[in-house]
Amino acid sequence: MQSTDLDNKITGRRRVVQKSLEYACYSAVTLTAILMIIFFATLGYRGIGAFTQTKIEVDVVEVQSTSKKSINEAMYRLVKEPDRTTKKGLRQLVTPNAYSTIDITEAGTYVLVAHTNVDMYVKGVYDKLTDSQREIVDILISDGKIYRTWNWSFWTNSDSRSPEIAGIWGAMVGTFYTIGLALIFAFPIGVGCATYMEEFPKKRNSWAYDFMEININNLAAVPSIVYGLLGLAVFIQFFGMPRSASLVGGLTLGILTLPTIVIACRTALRTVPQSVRDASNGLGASRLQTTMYQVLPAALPGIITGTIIGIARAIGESAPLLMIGMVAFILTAPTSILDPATSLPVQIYLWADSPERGFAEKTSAAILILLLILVTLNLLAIWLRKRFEIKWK
Amino acid sequence: MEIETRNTLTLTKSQKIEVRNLNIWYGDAHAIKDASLKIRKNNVTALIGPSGCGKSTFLRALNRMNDFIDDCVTKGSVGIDGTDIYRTQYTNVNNLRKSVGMVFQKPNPFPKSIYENVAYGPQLHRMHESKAHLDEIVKNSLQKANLWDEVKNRLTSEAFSLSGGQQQRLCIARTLAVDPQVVLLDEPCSALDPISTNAIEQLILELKKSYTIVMVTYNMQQAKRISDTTAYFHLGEIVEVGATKKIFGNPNHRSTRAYVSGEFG
Ligand SMILES: Nc1ncnc2c1ncn2[C@@H]1O[C@H](COP(=O)(O)OP(=O)(O)OP(=O)(O)O)[C@@H](O)[C@H]1O
Ligand SMILES: [Mg+2]
Repeated sequence: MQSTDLDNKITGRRRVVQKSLEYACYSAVTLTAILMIIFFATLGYRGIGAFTQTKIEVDVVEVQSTSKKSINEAMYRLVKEPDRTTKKGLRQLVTPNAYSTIDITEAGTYVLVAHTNVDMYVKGVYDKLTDSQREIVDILISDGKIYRTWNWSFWTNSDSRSPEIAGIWGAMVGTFYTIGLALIFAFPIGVGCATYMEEFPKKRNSWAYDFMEININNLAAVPSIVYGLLGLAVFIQFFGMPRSASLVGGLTLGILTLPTIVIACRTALRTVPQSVRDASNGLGASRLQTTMYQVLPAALPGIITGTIIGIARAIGESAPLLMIGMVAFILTAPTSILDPATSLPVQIYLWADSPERGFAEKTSAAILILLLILVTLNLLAIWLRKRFEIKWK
Repeated sequence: MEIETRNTLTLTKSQKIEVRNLNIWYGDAHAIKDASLKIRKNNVTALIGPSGCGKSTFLRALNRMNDFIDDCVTKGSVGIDGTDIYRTQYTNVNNLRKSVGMVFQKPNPFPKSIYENVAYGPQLHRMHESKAHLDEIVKNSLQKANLWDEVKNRLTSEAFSLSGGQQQRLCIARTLAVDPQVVLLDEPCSALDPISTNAIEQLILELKKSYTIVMVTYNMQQAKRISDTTAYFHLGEIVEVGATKKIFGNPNHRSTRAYVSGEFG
């Protein structure tokens, strides 16, 4: 009975410590969650506008010699006998891009993308319209001639000087090429490297082994911009590959991901028990056969999970790409890995840096998309691990 | 070279393996000291002795599994059917391991289906002519391991879903599938319950009709029950070899007597 008393006293004091620790952890988690929610809410609030677009319906009565003239004529018709300044204001309600993208060959109703100032006014972000412009816009809104629609062109367009028509397609394609190349480059080398280090340890004392061991363990901690410098020096200056191309970006990000893949792959190989190798070797398999038929397949879920996480990191990288010139202003999506390209994070950087207010919502929207991609990849990695991981007995 | 080796190993008809002056080091540690042993065909030879005396090391020397341990050095000769597997630079170590199969202490099936576990060896050595032939090999091997009736309806399910004893019999089937002549078993029952142990013991008694069996065991009763010859190891040396009856009934050495009577271990 005495000892129970003593226990209770100790437990009492312990309980206080334990409880306060519990609360500390709990509040830390809550705080993080709240910050995350604020972060996403802000991004969502700011970026949601980018997914809609303001359109103007105009009636072309007489086709002029050029589309530009036809559009302008149609705009002038919105006001009775406009003077020079009103005409100028009218012209500026439509994106300048319409002149080159819309081909007007016959009379009829055309739907044009509104100028960013109109777009921002309609979305209630800011009002830079002149008094006469605002008057016309208000009338057109109430007539249903100016309205908001889904902004499909945000997905299908590339960058532009005009925020109202700028899209992320070019950056998406650039990211796809770059990451695809990084994967093609880094996955086989990384897996091969890890396999050599884990499964063929005959030459543990060789300089090659030591060299790799030191490299791998330190490379993972190198700041990413250093990889950019490396890419610049090696691929562009030494090998003479084209600047700004996804080829160079892919190789650079490949090197950046390599240590992550190697480390993940080595960990995955180490979780395969020695008994599996013994069993295979004992049946007369060569070391290579054992590795290819038993060890690597058993380690594959871990290898793929690690690779996805490495690739997710590479997708979010912008610093190394800035160094190798993938910060170019890309008006059309690259069609080959040698074309100048940019990537999603760099596009975000470019838009965030633009003075036009219209790019602000594009920036937030692009960040949202990037985060969505990263979250998806990480969930995929978790799912793969849960689904295919082998529970060794 | 080969002829010379053959001559040095006196081979009697019923003899399968002859180990001569085997010395094994792990780095500086002398694990097997000058061990010599003759192993007869279609016999069960039990290796007994206290923990760490080198039984597993000795067993692994018989199919050169020690080659995978980096700092392990082997000297001496192990003749299988008169060919020294160490001195003749056995042209194909993989073929050696095919004909001298091994079953480990802990059941270690591959993380695959039951079928794939057994089929792996024959596939490795391209022993099958067709899918049907492979099915046949798998079936035969599982039958030899007394496992067929229990698994014939679930060949595609995971090997891990079997019980420990079934897994161990699967591992034996997997070894038999590549058609070995010698089967080495390293404490095959130590992770199993008495019923599974009994199943494996019965199996070993059946297998000895067609294979030469060398097994390490901790269990004195087991050695007594199923082995024909027993070798007693102590501190890396083979202290005594003889018919199992003799070793357990009237051993020559004091330390053997002490060990088999359970005075230490
Ligand atoms: N891979 C290894 N590296 C270094 N030393 C080893 C290695 N394997 C075994 N040894 C040593 O060699 C000696 C014999 O080991 P072995 O495993 O053959 O003993 P054992 O008789 O099988 O023991 P147990 O009955 O416990 O399995 C031991 O002293 C052990 O420490
Ligand atoms: Mg052992």
